[in-house]
Order: sequence, then structure tokens, then C-alpha cells
Amino acid sequence: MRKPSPHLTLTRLLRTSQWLVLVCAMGVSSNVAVANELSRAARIQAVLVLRIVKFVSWPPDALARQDGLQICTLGDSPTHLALQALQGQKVREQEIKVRKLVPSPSLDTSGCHVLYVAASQRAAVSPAWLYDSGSRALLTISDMPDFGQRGGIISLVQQDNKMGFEVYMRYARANGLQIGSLLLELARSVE
Amino acid sequence: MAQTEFIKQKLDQLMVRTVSLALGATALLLLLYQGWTFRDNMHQRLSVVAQIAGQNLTAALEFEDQTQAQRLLESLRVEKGIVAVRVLDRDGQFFAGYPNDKKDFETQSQTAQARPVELMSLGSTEYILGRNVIEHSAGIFLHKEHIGDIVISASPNPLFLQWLISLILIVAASLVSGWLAMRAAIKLQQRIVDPISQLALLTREITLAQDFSVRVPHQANDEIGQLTEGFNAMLSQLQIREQALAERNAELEKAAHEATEARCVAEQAVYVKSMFLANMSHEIRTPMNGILGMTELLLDSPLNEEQRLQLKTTLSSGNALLSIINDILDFSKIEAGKMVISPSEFDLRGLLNDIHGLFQQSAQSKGLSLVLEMDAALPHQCKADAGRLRQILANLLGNAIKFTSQGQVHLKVQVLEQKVGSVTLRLEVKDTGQGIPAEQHQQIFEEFKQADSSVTRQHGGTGLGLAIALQLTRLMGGTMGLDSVPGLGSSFWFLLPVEPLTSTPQSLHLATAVTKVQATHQTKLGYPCKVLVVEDHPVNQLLVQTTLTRFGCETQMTSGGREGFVAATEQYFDVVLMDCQMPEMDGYEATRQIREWESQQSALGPRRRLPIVALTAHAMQGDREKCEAAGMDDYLSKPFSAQSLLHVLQRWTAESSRSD
Repeated sequence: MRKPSPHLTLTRLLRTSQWLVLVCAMGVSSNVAVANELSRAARIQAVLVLRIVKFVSWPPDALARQDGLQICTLGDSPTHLALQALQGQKVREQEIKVRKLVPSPSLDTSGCHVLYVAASQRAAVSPAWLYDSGSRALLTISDMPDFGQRGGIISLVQQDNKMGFEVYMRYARANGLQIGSLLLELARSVE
Repeated sequence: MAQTEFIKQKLDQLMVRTVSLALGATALLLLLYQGWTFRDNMHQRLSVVAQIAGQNLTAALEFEDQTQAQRLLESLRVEKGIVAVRVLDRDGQFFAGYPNDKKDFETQSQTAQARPVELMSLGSTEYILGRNVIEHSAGIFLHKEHIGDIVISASPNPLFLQWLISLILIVAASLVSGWLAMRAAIKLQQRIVDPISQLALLTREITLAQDFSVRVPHQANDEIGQLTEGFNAMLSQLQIREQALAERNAELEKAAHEATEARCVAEQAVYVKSMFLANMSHEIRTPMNGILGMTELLLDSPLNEEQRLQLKTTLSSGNALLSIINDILDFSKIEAGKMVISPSEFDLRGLLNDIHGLFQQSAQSKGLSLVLEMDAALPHQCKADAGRLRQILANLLGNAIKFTSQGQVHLKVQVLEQKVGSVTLRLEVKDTGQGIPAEQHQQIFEEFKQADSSVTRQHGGTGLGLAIALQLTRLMGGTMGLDSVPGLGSSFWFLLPVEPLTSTPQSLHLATAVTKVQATHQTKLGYPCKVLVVEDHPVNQLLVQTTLTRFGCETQMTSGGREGFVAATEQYFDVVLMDCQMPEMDGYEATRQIREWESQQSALGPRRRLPIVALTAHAMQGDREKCEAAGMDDYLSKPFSAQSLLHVLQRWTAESSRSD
């Protein structure tokens, strides 16, 4: 038993971030490079989103539709781009569809199974805003801090150079979502 | 005991084989079943474990969380028998597992790795039961997506342990059950084998002791019981038979004893009979001697014709009586087996001539011609029992003359066969009588039988003649036969083996050996002769003296052996006539003394031997030998005729008178 905390063995990512720090320290600035590096972290987040989805059960009527598994994104973020790159992959025998939602006070999430909220939308986030938006069972994921406190279910967190996640069961249960116990085992924390 | 042990051993072997085979087969099947069950159970268990572990490992695999996977696998350590677990990721690379030796795993499952992937991807599991390890691999799927594999290795040691325990249990059970089975079998064996061995033992005892009264105790009603019963029944039968045999033996012994006694009695009777006959013959002959001798003497005295005829009748009647007595005596001797053939040397031609001469007269008186025909090859001297030969011929000739009324009687003697040291003679007496029917040929040789019983009345006779002749021929080694055609005549013949001799015999001539017989009837000796007569019987004394006086001899009479000896030593005699049976000193003793005295005298100078002729009424066998042994030279059987006395005198005095 080494560390109970889960870690993503994306060593390259780690090395890259170290390398990024090193580059920053050297004062060499490159937007393209930064953008690339960011998109790498976003790609990790996108993969993580798909993996998490594999261990979450939606109510049968919510996922019975033939139009695949819709992952909706809210707000601009590199993760949206990374997710979009993964579109068409099959998860849980469902084709991944990525849809970008328009930020507005009256959010319409109908048809969405997963809602990725970019950190930039933090101010607008509230349980009511999230879950009374049309979707019948919505798994909310975000990398913003205190997402859980704001009504989120999965909060992606960076710690010790490792991307992990926290699970907040309250709104999952309320939404009829079942988070697999195996996923809970891997979570940094479960509330 | 060897046989019983043999059965015991066989039964033991059979039992041991059966029991061990059954136990062995059971043990083998049990072990196989255990192995199969173990394999099945292990397979099921490993598959369940792999299923559960795989399910639990999906998240760890998906999130590539090796620590979590390792932690999850640790829980499998509790599972008994599982020695190693390996989790492979979707690329087949080692992901987690224990014992935590990645290199060891890689080398171990390098070969097995490539192969199972295909199967695993299809959702099947692979199960390998090796020598040291039981390996089970299963795919790990998440939402039907193959995300990795799990390989669980279990140790077969529990199986081996189970097998070991089972084996120990089986061996223990085998030993116990085998022991019990053997005990039961031994008991059963005893019930089977013991009676058999007892039976065998008893059989041996009975065979050794020959005691058939022993019985085998009855044991059971099974086959052995039946065998025992059969054996006992057999013993009973043997006993009964033995008893019967013993009884029969006793009976036989008794019978044999009785037979022996009877034989003794019979022998005694025969002896008594023969003694009686000897005595009778003596007692009859002596008076007969007197009668015949006196009658002969009377016939020589002056008589008228009528008296002469009466005396002749008396003489012929006496002779007939004498011949009957002789026949009966001979037959008795033959019957008693006392007739002994004693061959001696004699002149065969002389004997034949003599007998021809003897019967010539009686043949002529009947008007018959008696012809003698002799083979030129006949030997002169030969060795046989001349007396008996003479008797046979006399019998046949007498018969032939008696039963032939006209014609001739032919005596023909031939040499039938000539070998070295033996000549077979064929002597045949042929007549022209009435002949004998063929059906009577056999009977005629039987005693007391004549061809026709009427013949007996017509011709007289005892009917013993032919029977005696036949028996004598047989005793002498010959055979006798008869050829006859009724109305034409009969031919009696006999074959006789004799021993031919070339040299002239030097032995003494006995009365039966006849030298030359003068055809003329002599009444005087013709030369002076001094005779000493030793005779105790007055009638005989008178008879001999009268006869000798007529012959012209000078006679001195002594009435005892002692006086005879004295006279013989004191005076000269040409011949001595010595009676054998006398009181005080008998003729044998007197002769012995005379010979002894002679041998003493001959030491002084050469001296002539005094001829001594025995006069004996003993017609029985052995008399002749007795006379010879006593030193007598000749032998005259009483009653003797004047003619035979004259012959003897001529024989013994002619030489001396001529030499003198």
C-alpha cells in the first residue's frame, strides 16, 4: 500500500509540466507551446471524462436513446476541444457526441448526459441552474475549485502533478445516477 | 500335509489376489475420481475468483491505477491454494500481480501468453493443469470491451495432499479389511480344509494300519460331508470284503488241511494196499509154486491117459490163475505209480526169437501159424526194459492167438527211425481174427474192458492185458495204436525208443534176459552138476529136489541161510539156488557172507566165482535190485516152471562144465 491517492500515469504530462516550468523560468514565451501544453492537460481531462463515464450508470430511460451519449460543454476551454477530438468514440456501446452549450441564465441541457463546465463559468454555477435545465439525468464534471459546493458531481483536481477527481454523491443520487463503487474507490474523496 | 498346504496355499493366493485386486481397483478409481473432482472444483473456483477479481479490477485497469489493482489483488492472498495472480493490461503487458516479480512472470508465461490472447478476447477462459501449477486465465471486460486479462495460478499441492491422505486411508482400510477378510477366509478355509486334511490323514493311517474299522466322524452336510460319508461307505465295504476274504481264507486253509489229511490217508491206504498186494502175491505164489511144480512132476511120472489129461487141465488152470494174479499185480503197481522202468542191456533178436518160440506151441495147438519178421537193421544189443518189452509182446501175442480162430499171427519188427544214441522200433502184432469195430478202439485199451463183453465169457481173461501193455509202453516212452477192420483182422502196434549198443554187455544176465532157447523140449541137463539148494519151505524143497534129480543133478538141501553158507564154504557146488525169504538168516545175508568169504579166499589164490541164483516169491519192484546188491547172479521168480529152472541151470553150469 503505497499511496491511496489515485494517479494517472501520464508521465509525459508530468515531464511536460516540469519542462513548462523550466521554460517559464528561462523566460522563453511561446503561445503555441503553451496552447499545446494546455491542450495536453485538456486531453487528459477529456480521457478522464470518458473513463469516468464508463463507471457511471444512468437510469435506463435516460440512456436508452439511440442517439448516443451526449457530452455537453459549457464555456470555452481546451477540454472542449479535446473532447471534440474524441467524438465518435464508443463508450458503453454508445457513440460519443460532443455539443457545446451557449452560456445563459436559463441553461438548456436537454439531451445531455454529461455536462462539462469550464472553470470560467464558475460564477453562474448553482445546483438549480445545473439540474433544472432540461436533462433528466445529468453528470456534471468540472475542473473548477469548489465545484462540489456549487452543486457539481465530479470535480477534477490537480494534485501532486497528478490529475485526480472527487465525487459528490448528493446530486448524483438526486439525478438518479449511480456512481460505480470501483470509481469511488479511485476517487480522491467522496462526499 | 503337503496336499493340504497345497489347497491352503491356493486358497490363500486366491484370496490375497482377489482382495488386493478389488482394493487396488477401488483405490485407483477413488484417486482418479478425486483428481477429477479436484480439477473440476478448482476450475470452477478459479473461474469464479477470476471473474470476481477481474470485475473488481476493471476500474484500476481503466484508470491505470496499479496501486489500486495491487491492493485489490492482495485480497486474493486469503484464497487458499492460489499461489500467484497476474493481471495484464489490454496490450498484454504486466499490470499487477503477486508474487511481485515481473521478470519471473514474463519468462514464465512468455510461451503461454501469445496463445491465450485470442481465446481470451472471445471471452473464454483457459485452464491448464500442470505438474507444479494449475493455471487459469480469464479476460477482463468492461462494457464488453476487453481491457485486460487475469491469470491465476493455483498449487496442486492440496490435491496431492488429498491424494496422500486418501492413499493412507485406503491403505489403512485395506489393511484392516484385508485382515478381517483373511481372518474370515481362514475360518472358512478351516471349515473346508480341516475335514479334508482329516480325511487325508485318516486315509494314510488306514493304509498304513490296514484297519478298516476306523470311521471318519461326520461333520457337515456339504460336499465334504458327502465325501466323508462316501469314504465311510467305502471303508465299510472294504471291511466287509476283508472279512469275507478272511473267512474264505480260513475256509480254504481248512479245505487245504482237510485235503492234506485226505491225501495222507489216501497215501496210507495206497501204501497199505501195495503192501497187501505184495504180501498176497507172496502168499499166493508160494502155494501156486507147489501146485504147479508138483503137477509138472506128476505129469512126468507114469500115468494112464485119463490121469494125464486131468493133470494137464490142473496145470493149465494153475497157469491161468497165475497169469491172472500177475496181471492184477502189475495193474495195481501201475495204478499206484510204483511201476518203475529199469532199462538194462539185452539181445533184442534173441528176445524176439525166444518169445516167438514160447508162443509157437500154443499157436500150433490152435492150428495157427506164428510168423516172426525182423528188420535187417535191428540192433543186436540194445538197452531197454527187456522184461517189460517181453511182457507187452506176450500180452499182444497171447491176445492175438486167443482171438484168432484160423489163419496166422504175424509179429513184425521194424526200425522206424534211427538217430545217434536212439532207435525207434515199430513192433506190430497182426492177426486174421474177427477184428474190432472202430467205435471200440478206444475202449479196448481201458482196464476191465474187452471189445465185446460176450468175448469175456467165450475166451476168459481179466481184460487188463491191453491196459497194462498200453501203460507199460507209455512208461517206456512209446506209443501204442490199433488198426482193425472187422472181419479181416486186427493189427496192434507200438513204437518204442531203445538205445542201441555195439559192444557186448558184461553185466549179469537176469531171468528176463534170454539167451538161446532150444526149440526142443529138454528134460535133462546132460552133464553132471552139483547144486546147493537153500530153501526153508518143505514143499518147495521137495519140488526143487525132485526137479533137479530128474534133470540129473546132484542136490544138497539146506533149510536155512546159515547152513547154506556153511555148506557153500565147505563143499564144491556148480550153482546155488538161494531162497530169499527165510527165518533167521535170509538169502540176501547168506549171499553177502558167501561173497565176503570168496573175496577172502581169492586173496590166497585165483578162484572161480560161485553162481548164486535167487529164488523169490517177490515179484514186486525192487527185488531184482536187492538181489544184485546182495551179490546174486540171477533171479528166478516163484512159481517157476521146470523149463525155466533148466534154462537157468544151463546158463550157469554150461560154461563152468565146459571150462572145467
